Amino acid sequence: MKASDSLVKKMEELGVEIVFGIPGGANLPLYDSLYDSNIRSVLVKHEQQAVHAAEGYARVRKRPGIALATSGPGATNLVTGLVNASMDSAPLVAITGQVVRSFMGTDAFQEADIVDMVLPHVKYASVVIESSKLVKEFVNAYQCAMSGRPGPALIDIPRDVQQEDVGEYELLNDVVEERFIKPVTNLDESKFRRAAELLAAAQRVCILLGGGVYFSDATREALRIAEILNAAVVATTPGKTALDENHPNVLGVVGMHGRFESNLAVIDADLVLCVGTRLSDRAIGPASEFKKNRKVIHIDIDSSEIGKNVIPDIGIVCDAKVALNKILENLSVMSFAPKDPGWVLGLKEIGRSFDEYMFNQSDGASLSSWKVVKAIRDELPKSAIVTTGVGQHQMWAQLFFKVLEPGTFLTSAGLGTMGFGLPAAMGAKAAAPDRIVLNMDGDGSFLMTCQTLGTIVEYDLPVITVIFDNRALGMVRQWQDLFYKKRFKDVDIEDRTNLIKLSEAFGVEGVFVESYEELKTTLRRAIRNDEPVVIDVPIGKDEKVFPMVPPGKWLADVILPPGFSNYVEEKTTSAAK
Amino acid sequence: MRLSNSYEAVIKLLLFAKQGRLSLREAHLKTENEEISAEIVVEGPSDKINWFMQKANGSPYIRECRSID
Repeated sequence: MKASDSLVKKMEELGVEIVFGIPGGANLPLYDSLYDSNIRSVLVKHEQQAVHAAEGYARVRKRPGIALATSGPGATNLVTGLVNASMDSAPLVAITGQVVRSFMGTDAFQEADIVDMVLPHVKYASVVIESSKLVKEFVNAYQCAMSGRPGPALIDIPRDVQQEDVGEYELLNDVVEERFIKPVTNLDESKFRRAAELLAAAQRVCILLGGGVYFSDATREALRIAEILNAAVVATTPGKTALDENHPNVLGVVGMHGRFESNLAVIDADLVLCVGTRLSDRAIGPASEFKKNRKVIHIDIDSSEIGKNVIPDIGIVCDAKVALNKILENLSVMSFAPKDPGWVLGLKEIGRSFDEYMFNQSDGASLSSWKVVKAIRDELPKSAIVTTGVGQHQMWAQLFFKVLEPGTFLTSAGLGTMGFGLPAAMGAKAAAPDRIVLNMDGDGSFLMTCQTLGTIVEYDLPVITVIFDNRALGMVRQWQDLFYKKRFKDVDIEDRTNLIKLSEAFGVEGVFVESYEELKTTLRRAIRNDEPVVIDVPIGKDEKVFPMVPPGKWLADVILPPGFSNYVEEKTTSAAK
Repeated sequence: MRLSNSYEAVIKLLLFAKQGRLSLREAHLKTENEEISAEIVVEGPSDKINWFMQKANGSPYIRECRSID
């Protein structure tokens, strides 16, 4: 059997249903093997789309997505997506072709040392030099991507290795080596008891959920603890997808562009239970401030995260679901005074005031982003999956798009990769063809990977895209406005790119809307027909995303929307009267 | 430290030290029985050293990482 045939057979056995990629000289044997396979192969327009699509697929299915690329530029085009997957802990396996072994190290045509390029960012990367080890290397990479903290892996296969005869498939060693799945062992039961004791003794508990909670399927357990302790539940940007934002204890996202009430919950809490998060500065601000005046319990499956940014009072290396169940067990046999439910109710009230204030703002010449986000939420079914690009629209989405079902909000959080939204949406649609998938994008982000439109038409992966079109790199413009004395440099996009015609050139209907009602009508039609559409929504370029915590500042140093503080003051005064 | 027998394992080890902003003082490598054994001397704050140890022990490239001081 040819080595590439054995690889495809193993992929089939592991349940790989779809691959995203582009063939080229160095991975032709692999594509030739795919010709006879049931694995669906999606030809993208650029390898970055393949890797983002693989991530979108992986995040919906909670299993590795697969991206294929040839050697040289094909492989290097994967790098952004691999780093993105690493930062957001998404499992995927990239398979790259490499020049033949005898040409390696000679600067041969389309030769690039992709393994060494991605090594700092992936869980595992390897050049497969012996064809007999190809299947085993793939199994190792596949299992490694999924085990523990998920992440990307890459195997690089010289073309002649792919072509070699490996003998009988059944005789190939395909047993995953233990070093690739290193299970968490030796759970210290006393730590769970101590964590429960601290939680029971605290007055105001805030539970901070990260992306690990979604991957561990631990939302229910986190919410149960919140109900028992009358705790506030907040999330990091990747953790938002683990929430049910209609739950009475859930406030929303924290951090630089977090919900006001969520940041207040962290500031006011005397204990924060952090689960499945690396506690990045973007979520918690300076670690020294975060640790002041409150106890911290940190649960993460990656032992290197415990104490990396914040030294916790209790650090637990464990899968989120297992850990939270153990804490629940301990809490269930403890007696403790019930916590005051008024704390969370008060925070919820602040959140309601914030929404009320924002939604009562009159529009300028264009539509208001947050009202566009709300219109989208109003029209989408609960199970719809939303992806975003990166920028102001992403922050509006995290502030105002309510996640009602875990796993329905995919965004590029850690790396902040503009252009992530559309290909990730395509991957999500491939993973869940029966669900509506909508990409909220900025005009800047959209134009980075807009060729994906051609692919979604060709492969019948209909995705709705709503472009928050302010003809600017809005978030960068906001920073130049606030921190660089309005010296706007290279942030206004003065070109005449017609996004409607562009979409239509790829075979996707484009609709320009000028009212919320038009937007809703267009969405209703696209949802009903499950058809691709690009909806271009004009947004003012001077619009700013608030709340905003300036970089490096503590959550309490938040900049609120102009007029909001007076609004709250007046509301409180009139309520007192 | 016991590493898998590959250049990537050695590179990854050094990358962990670099990412942890540790100063590398000495490194001794030896290949034996399809495995690389490494003894390295790094300097840095204790929390960073701890991070490095955890990171190394979690990596598929590194079979075992022990502190010998």
